Amino acid sequence: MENKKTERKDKTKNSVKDFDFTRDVAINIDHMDLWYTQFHAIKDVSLEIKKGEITAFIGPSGCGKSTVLKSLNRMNDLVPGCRITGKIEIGGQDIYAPGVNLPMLRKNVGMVFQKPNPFPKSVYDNIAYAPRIFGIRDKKTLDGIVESSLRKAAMWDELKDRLNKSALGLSGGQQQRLCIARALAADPAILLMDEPTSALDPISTGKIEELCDELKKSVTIVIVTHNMQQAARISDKTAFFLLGEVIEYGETQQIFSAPVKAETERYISGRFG
Amino acid sequence: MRTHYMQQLSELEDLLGKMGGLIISGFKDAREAIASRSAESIRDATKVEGRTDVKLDEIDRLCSLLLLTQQPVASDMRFIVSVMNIVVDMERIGDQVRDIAETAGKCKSEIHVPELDEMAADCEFMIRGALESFVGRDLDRAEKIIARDDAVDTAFDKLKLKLSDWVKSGYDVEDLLNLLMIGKYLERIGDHATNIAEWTSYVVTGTKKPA
Repeated sequence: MENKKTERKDKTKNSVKDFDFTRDVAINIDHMDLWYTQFHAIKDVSLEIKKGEITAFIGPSGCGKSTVLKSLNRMNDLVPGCRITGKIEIGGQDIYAPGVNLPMLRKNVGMVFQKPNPFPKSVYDNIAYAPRIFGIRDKKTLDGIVESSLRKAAMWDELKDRLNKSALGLSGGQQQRLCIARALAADPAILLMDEPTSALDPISTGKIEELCDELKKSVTIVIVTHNMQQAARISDKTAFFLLGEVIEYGETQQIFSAPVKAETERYISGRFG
Repeated sequence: MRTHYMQQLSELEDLLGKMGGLIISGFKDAREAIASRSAESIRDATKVEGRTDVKLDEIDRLCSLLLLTQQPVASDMRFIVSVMNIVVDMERIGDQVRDIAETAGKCKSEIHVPELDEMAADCEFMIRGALESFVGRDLDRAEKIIARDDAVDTAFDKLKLKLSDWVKSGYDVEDLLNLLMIGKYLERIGDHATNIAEWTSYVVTGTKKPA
């Protein structure tokens, strides 16, 4: 039993070594194209995302921003007829190369969705889910991970006395932050967020935005948002997508104060989209 | 798309144009007051300040409303931020137009100083040009306006020397001081027009040239 545990741990360590998150560039998308059967959804997208930055993907519905986001931890693998060309490197590794360890990829690249999706389990079990999958059984270690993940998500004080209560009993905002804490429990280097606050009230939204600002010290964040002010408030870089292409990518302040492309200007100022 | 927003931006352009029109016509009256000291031009120029204050309030309110309700970005944001800044310079020009007229009305003699005429002509060119370059987003014209400020400053220096000579020549000192004050008001108007022209750069490029 002890040997098995050790073996699992070693496997985790070896796989983690495959990804090098010490380098400046956390994500490098190089001439990516994506098709859903015949539909050419993403056209020649290239983006370099730096470590420790928050990058916002903006653009009208159907422009491809969520598709690119999901490609970063290979969630599109589950979509029938989805085909990708080009290269996506995460932590220096081509994540579409043969033999990539998908669980390890998804451990390192966490995801938070539009609607909070806690498991129908206790708060504790939600957070401990990923560490358990990766072989951690020791109660003390799990307790430590649960506490540190909830602290990182600024929820420890709120939930420390409710760890054994069902996560489904939390408010929507709390559930979403719990999902962030759950993603953090796997100690990811990258966190993907697909409209994480669109179903939340302004107070909960504010808490998540503050959380992102705190998390970027240790996690690279890519966030899809339809809220232009949110993108302007929290992100360092912004990529504007339109019809499957990246029209403009740059410093957020520049994109929102003096965009180079007319389409960007027209979209962010609400003249179309 | 965002029809109401577009209407509000258009309304802001209109208000700015009206305030600019008041200042340009007020300055013409002030120029006339310097040249002829006519009671009519002094009266008309004096009224400008109150009218520009009213427009300033309207523009301030509309800019605040736009920032609050529309969260403008990109060129809209740059335009609104610039307008909020240049209306302060425009309001000051309105004050100085009134001050010029009032001071001209205090002059007892008919002393004529060519340097004041030069300064007034340059200032009229600068006010009109600064406002038109801003509204027309015309960087080249804005540069010409900024460059003209040196001429105003040079003429003011010459004016000071001449008036100090005239003090020694026995002219009415109070009148000479009034003319000096008018020169100073014109010199300040040149500075305000320069500020307005500098905001044109921000509206067009997103970068304001250092003063």
